[in-house]
Amino acid sequence: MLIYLVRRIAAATLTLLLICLVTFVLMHAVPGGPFEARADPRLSAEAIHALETHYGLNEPMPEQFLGVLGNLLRGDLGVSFAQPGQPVSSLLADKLLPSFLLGAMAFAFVVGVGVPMGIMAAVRPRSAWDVANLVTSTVLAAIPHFVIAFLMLLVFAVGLGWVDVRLGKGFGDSIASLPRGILPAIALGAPSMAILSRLTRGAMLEVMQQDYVRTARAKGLAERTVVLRHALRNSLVPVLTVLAPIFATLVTGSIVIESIFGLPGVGSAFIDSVRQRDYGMIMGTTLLYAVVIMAANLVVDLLYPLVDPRFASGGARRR
Amino acid sequence: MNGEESWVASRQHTRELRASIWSFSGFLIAGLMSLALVACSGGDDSTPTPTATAEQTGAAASSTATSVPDAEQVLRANLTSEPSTLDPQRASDQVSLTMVRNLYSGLLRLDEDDNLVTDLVTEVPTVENGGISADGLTYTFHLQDGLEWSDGEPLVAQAFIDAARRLFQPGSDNPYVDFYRVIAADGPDGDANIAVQEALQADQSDIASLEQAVVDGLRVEAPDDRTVVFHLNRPSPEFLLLATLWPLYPVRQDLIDEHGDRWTEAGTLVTNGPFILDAWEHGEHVRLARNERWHRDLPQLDAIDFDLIDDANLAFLAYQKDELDVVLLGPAELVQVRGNADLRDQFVGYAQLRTSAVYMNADDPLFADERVRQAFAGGVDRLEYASAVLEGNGLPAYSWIPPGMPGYEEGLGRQYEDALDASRQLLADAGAEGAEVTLLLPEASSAVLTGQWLQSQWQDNLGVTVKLDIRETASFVTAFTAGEFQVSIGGWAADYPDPQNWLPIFTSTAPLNFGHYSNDQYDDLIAEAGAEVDFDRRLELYGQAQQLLIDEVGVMPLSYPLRGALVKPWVQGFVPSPREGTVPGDLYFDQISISGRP
Amino acid sequence: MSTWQSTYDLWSGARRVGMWRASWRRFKRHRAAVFSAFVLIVLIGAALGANVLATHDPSTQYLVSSAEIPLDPLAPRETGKFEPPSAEHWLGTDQLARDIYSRTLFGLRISLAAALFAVVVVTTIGVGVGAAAASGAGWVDGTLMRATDLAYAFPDLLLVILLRAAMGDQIFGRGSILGVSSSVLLLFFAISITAWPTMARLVRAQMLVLRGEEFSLAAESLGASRWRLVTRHWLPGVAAPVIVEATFLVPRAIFAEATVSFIGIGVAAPQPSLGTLIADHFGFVTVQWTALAVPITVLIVLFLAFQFLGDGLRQALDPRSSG
Repeated sequence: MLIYLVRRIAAATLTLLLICLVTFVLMHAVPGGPFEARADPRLSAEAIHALETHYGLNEPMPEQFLGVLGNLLRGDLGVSFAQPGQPVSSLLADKLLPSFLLGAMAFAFVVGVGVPMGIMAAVRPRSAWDVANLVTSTVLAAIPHFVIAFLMLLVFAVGLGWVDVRLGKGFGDSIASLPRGILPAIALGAPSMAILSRLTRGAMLEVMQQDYVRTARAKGLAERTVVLRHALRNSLVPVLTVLAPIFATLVTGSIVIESIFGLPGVGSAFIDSVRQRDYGMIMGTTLLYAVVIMAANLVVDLLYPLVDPRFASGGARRR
Repeated sequence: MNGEESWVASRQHTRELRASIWSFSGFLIAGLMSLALVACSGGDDSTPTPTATAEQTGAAASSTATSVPDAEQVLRANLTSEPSTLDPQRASDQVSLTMVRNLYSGLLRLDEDDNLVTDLVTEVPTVENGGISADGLTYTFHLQDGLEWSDGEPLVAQAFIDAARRLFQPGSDNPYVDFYRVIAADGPDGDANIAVQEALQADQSDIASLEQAVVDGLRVEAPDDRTVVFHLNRPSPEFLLLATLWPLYPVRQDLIDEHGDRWTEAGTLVTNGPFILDAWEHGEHVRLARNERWHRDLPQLDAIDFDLIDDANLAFLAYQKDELDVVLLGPAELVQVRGNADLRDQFVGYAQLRTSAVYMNADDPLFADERVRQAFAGGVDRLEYASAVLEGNGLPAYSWIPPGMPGYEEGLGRQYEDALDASRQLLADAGAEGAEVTLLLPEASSAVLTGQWLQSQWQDNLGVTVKLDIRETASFVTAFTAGEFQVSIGGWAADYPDPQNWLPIFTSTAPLNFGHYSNDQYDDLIAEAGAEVDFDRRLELYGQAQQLLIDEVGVMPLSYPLRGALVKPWVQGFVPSPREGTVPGDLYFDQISISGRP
Repeated sequence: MSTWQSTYDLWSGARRVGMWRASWRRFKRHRAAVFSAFVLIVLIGAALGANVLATHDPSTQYLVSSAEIPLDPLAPRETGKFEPPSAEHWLGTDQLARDIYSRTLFGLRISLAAALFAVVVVTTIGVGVGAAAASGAGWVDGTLMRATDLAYAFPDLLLVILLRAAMGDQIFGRGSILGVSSSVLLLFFAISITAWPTMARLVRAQMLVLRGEEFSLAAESLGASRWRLVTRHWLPGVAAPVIVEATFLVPRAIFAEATVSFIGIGVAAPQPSLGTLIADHFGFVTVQWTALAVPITVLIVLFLAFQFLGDGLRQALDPRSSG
């Protein structure tokens, strides 16, 4: 198990290194640098050149890359160009909390609503509940989440007046601010919730047709026990495999939700950093997301043995 | 010094680039301006109303109710982007300036009627009172008694020396530094500056040391704690205006040394203006609080809450839900205000000293022919642009210098009004019928909207084919400033009220002459005017130059963007200004009070 | 050997014909899929026939003559913009007084064409990489799967934004290809770059299964070239899942384009696509809501139709699913 973990982390480190390289190449391939992006025509070409020299941007690319890499290894993400003097790490840290809180709330919504919905649909296939579930999840999955978010804003903030238009304001500052994240989290999670509920239903139905479930029923166990103790546990495996990509989607997908609800998160920071050619911020955000995605995958892989003893031998590669 | 915030506010929905990217004071490049949907006209007739100072039509602003001030004196407004800095020697974008001008006070200031008045000094220097030497080269400022920083430390003359040195510091990226070259070293522009320029062009590596030489050569001194003396390298009557601008606001060098780059954070920033920085949550929210140690009448507001909302539509919704007290309007919002009696009463419209324009590249084989440029200049209906595309948030422009500025000429450029037949004829004369041109645009939706309108106008009216080349901002700027375009859009806003701020940028070798217009006669006129000391003669020479510029279409004025805002009835003492930054009324927040907010 | 091969080919060919026929039978029974196919045929027909079906030119601005419009921003005015649906403009007009109905038709055409392009790119890369990994040597597999891991761990939206900004006009130039402007193609190309790893994994997994099957071992032991195995047997063997995956890819590409356009970093194209229409119309939804509702409805219908079609195809093409 430990060896497996070490191997996975080593592989992840290599992947991160490659991501770092690709990001570096891409962001420097983007025309215009941080000082052109300031879009201040009073800055002459000569002045820009001088500034770039001052910040070491005219060094050969390989040297710059090694410099960035060296700093990264020391845990230093560098300084922002767009907000002079601000270290990237502290800028990112400020945005991290709201983004991850929102992602976590959305994830809780996706799992907390999606899985039970799927189970209930599977228990009584073709019932009215199942059909309603099918319609809801199909429609939700078909609406882009920015549309859901905007409609929510129009209905709940503008129309009914129950919440502020600036719903995201102050989100993550205190416990009391958490309810402000409910609508954004639902908007963010809705499509994933729809997908998860269908998936749970499918997995449950398959398991329910297995012999051991029939045996359990034949033994006269209560339907409730059959579903929760026997069927659910075994149908969790396919459900679990999609949780990592869903979590990654929720965290990275918040870019759009952040902009609609005015949430100060990592997503907005990334878009701004690309526009502003804020190299350190671009690199920092990309690596942060990549780490999240890989960590989510790793966690799922580690959870397998707990849910399904067949994987307990360890080292089973998922993908 | 009005920059461009407006296109941002105007943009149709979310996040095109953030304001800070395109907002700079002083200069509006491309697209930005034209798009300016933010303002609204002061006048209700179709003639451009020259408005040197803000003219308001709204009832809200003029309501001088005698009601009792509320217990909670907090103004709530939105910023279109994060301020990129609160450092006065670094700030050049409008959002930052909104902050900086409320956080600091300078030597002099312009009052509501644009009169030059004292701020931190005892009197405005003149030749008569000895503040300006007879040769016009030495300016002496005497600070008032008992000036304090917000932390209680005395404010001394050295703070201005530190400011000037920081402005010229190596690595300084403030484009406004060029305005202040008059205080650098010897020679007409300072020999050290020339050395820096040459070094840059030769790609030498000792730029930093040369720049340091400029800093060391600065001719600013503080003979005592209450006297600041500037020695200019040439007579420069506009220097008093420069002394009102933020680059010369005083700074606390001791705190900068102590906190390094983080000296502008809440908790460490110490300022001397009407407000202090109370909280700054990056990318989210800025809160200013009253500075109890300010030297003038203290503001009535306890605090100002700035919320970051980059979407005009969302800000408008938040305003309607009473989450904001003031908001800027774009054309789509204007349509909704028009149909709502309550909102109409809260409307404030005022002029800005800005011109949005089309640039045609005179280096391009097609546009090298001045007849082609004239044809394109006459090939659009500016009235339609102002009234229909901008929804009245702008006026048709024919003169490059806008109404309200010395040098504005109402009759100028009227040959391009109702000139479709003549334009087609010009195009035929030049043998350019059916030409195909590419219009370079930044990605801001307001710019794209303007571009699509121009495309349709030229295609329908002139029979040419227009392709749109829409680029992400930084790549757009790279192409635009390098003159790598056929046709593009841009604009200009006043830094100070003088034609000198508007016309020399089109001389043959001027770095900001992006359309590469070149005419020896024009260059001579500008040089002559620059050396002329007689005000009327100078204006006349600039007038001749502008006539040439418009007749030969060195630039094609398109509209004078106006500003339209909504102000809640409980906001008392709201004063709009053509010079303000990103938030309506932000130059005079110290006069605002809140009365009767539900 | 040759005898065996031809016999085998005949047999497998016959099996394939039979498979397609059985699939069609199964597909016909999936009513939602059949209905979706019908809807898609209608939508694709509308897109192809946009020139005929459009009532107006999509880029003509029907602004009211300026002489009749007052300059005062508060004066009531008729500009021709933001018109509600009428007999003249069936779905109203937009912020430059253009006909929304006609623009939506052309936007649909652009989005479908670009999505098709994305599917071709993803399928080419995905099948190429997947097949090479499954049939090549161990180090080939290792390298390709490492590349796939990399693309998989790279945050999608971030990669699209970066790629789009970085590629500029270097790949598709500045003009248009087959009526789709280069900036739209570029965006869909960037989306394809993020979507291929899934396809590659799918193809690799399926082909590894085929590789382990007896007929492959037999053929190889009889000296059939690896190339022949790949092209004649393994690739046809993965056709079904690839088709299904490709079907699901179309709406995902269109969705991704809409999202990137909404963020605003997808450089507004001069041409309308469903994404840019939605993004542009958000700004005045409170003035003219049909302008937003129409492209969003089309987007949703497209998504559902492709989804059901994909479901139907999956069932139909999977021999295990009970007929």
